[in-house]
Amino acid sequence: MESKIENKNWGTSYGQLVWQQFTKNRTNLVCMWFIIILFTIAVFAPLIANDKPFTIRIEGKLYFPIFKTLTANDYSVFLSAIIAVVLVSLIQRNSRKVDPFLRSSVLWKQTFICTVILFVGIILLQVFVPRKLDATDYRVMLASGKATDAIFSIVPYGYGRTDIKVSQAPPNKEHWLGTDDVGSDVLCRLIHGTRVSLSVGFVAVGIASVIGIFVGAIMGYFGGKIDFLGMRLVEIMMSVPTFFLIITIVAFFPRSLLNIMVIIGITSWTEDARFIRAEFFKLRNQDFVQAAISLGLPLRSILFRHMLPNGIAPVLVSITFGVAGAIFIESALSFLGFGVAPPTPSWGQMLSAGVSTSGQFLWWLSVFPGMAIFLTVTAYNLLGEGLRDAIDPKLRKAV
Amino acid sequence: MTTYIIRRILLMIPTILGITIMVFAISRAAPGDPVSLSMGPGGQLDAQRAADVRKVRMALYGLDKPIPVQYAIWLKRVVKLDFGDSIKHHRPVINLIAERLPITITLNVISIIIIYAISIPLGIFTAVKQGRFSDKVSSVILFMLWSLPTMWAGQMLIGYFCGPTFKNWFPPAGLSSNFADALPFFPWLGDRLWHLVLPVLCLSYSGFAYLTKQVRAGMLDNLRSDYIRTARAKGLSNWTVTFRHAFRNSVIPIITIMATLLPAMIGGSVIIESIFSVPGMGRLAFEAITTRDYNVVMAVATIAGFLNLVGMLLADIAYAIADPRISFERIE
Repeated sequence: MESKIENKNWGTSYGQLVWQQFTKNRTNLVCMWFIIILFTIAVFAPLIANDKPFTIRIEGKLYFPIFKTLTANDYSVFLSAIIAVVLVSLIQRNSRKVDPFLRSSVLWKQTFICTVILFVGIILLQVFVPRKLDATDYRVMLASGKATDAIFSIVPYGYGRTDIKVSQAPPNKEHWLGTDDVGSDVLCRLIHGTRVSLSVGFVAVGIASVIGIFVGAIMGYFGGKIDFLGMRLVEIMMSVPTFFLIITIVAFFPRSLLNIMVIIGITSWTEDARFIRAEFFKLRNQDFVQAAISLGLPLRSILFRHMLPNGIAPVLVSITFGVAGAIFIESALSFLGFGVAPPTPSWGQMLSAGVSTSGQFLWWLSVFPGMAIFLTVTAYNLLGEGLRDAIDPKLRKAV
Repeated sequence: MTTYIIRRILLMIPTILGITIMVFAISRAAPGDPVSLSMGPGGQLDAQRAADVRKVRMALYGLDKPIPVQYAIWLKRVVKLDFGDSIKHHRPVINLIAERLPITITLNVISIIIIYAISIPLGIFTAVKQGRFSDKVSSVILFMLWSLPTMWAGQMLIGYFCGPTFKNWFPPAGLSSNFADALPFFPWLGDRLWHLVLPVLCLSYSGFAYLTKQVRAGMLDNLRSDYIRTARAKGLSNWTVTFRHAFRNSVIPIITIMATLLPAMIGGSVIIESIFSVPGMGRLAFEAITTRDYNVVMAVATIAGFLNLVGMLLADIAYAIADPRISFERIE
């Protein structure tokens, strides 16, 4: 299937043009790297901040406690990260070595294989990685002289660790960003909180864009009655302020990370649907779509193989803004106490401890988590703006 | 004009019905029903008795009827503004809302006035000075304001200005001081305003940043167009060109942005009223959710949707009045 010709000049595709425009702007690059670093921190959070040492020598024998305490979920996250990196590098390789006509089918095949590997890997990991609880306090062992040669991670605290003795301590040498009201290390909780925020942004927007693209595509393609009914649905969804809609659902359903992702996802697809619908209206009468219809291709192929790649651009922008919105909504929900349950750290929930019940302002509990939310949201918003400019140079002056 | 407004209002009816269906569906799709919640895990009654009690209670609350019938019954009461009783306050929900709605509306109206009053001049200014240093600085600041999380801003303001830790300039919570009722009118008003400064600031900064960007973009669009060049070529003064020509044309679309701002602001009032303990509808929603006061939750969601629709209707009417090109006979 793959063409053997090396580095042939096929000209630049639309995607490559957009990419060139996008990378020309230095702000975009900075934001992209910031988000990549955030993702890296999120993936390797248990290795960066953990109260278990990497290696420790107890009575002459070498142990690796940190790897023992990693759960199957942690390993699954590592695996997904590896697969994601592989996919990105495959896409880059394809654009150099594969004929443009075959590119999409090659990419589909590669994606399919990667997904299969990912699923099999996750199932295997869930089955074979044992669940262990290591309650040993290695620092006590070290202090008592029973153990030696311990190498700790950069932030040697666990996110669930409570220590009333050092509660509400401002930033100091041991706790770089201070501690919260139960004595957990703020930096450690920030690092682990990255996981919640980024995964909410990723999954919620994934759900929203799948629903939005599907509904929007159907409305735009068929028009008429289906479009009318769909638009009424969109209108109704949009007429209830999103945050009210979300807290209404949150009130009735049990609160967990997954539920919050799903709730944000099913309430924020309307924008995507409207964009896709408008694009499909325009595309519907173009020659290549008419040709695809008269060739008798199945509807699935017309909608998603032929029309979608040509109409996806504006949705990419709204998706990027959507990620920022989802992260903001999650932290607002956690701030109000409707988010993930307390032992799991989340930025919004950490922020809510900033003003203590006695009215004291614990600035480090407000500044650092708030800054984390702010920077992440800003980075995604800037990316969205950059993407919009790259996709449509005409719009550059607007907003 | 009147026909336009009447038509526009009639078009709202299906949307309002849709909102009630959605709110009702959410409440019924939730796991567990009110009866099992009120009966708890039980264990004292034997199975037969428990089933009997359950049956009687289901019939009492009308939960044994099919879902569409239940919806019709609920809707009939909602039309009469009867949302049932609040479990926490033991009072009709509608009374609670009637007390708190004016506060939220006041907050939002003040904020919207401030947003429009500041961002239109600022947008024009930055558009005229496009590319200059002042424009660049203001656009960076506006962008940061736009992505600044409300709860963080609110908490930093409270922490810095309202606490014993740093400055103690503003009251941290509530709408009036304890002694406010005894005050004559003007001191009372001053006290109220003093309490409103921070919540209004928080509620308006994000919309203000958004609107300024929109005004700037609209102005730039118009300043580049041919009729402005013609106007300049005629020898009109800079002032006339900017305000009589460009501004008038770019201000009309600004009215419709209300439709984007309003839902965000009504939603944002939940966060702001919770942070500043303002006894408005947002705070009511917050308390209702923490105490699982379902009647209140449903009522607040319905009314927030209704409020938003009314706001959009007003924006549409304002648009129709402002823009003479809109014909009142046709909708769309």
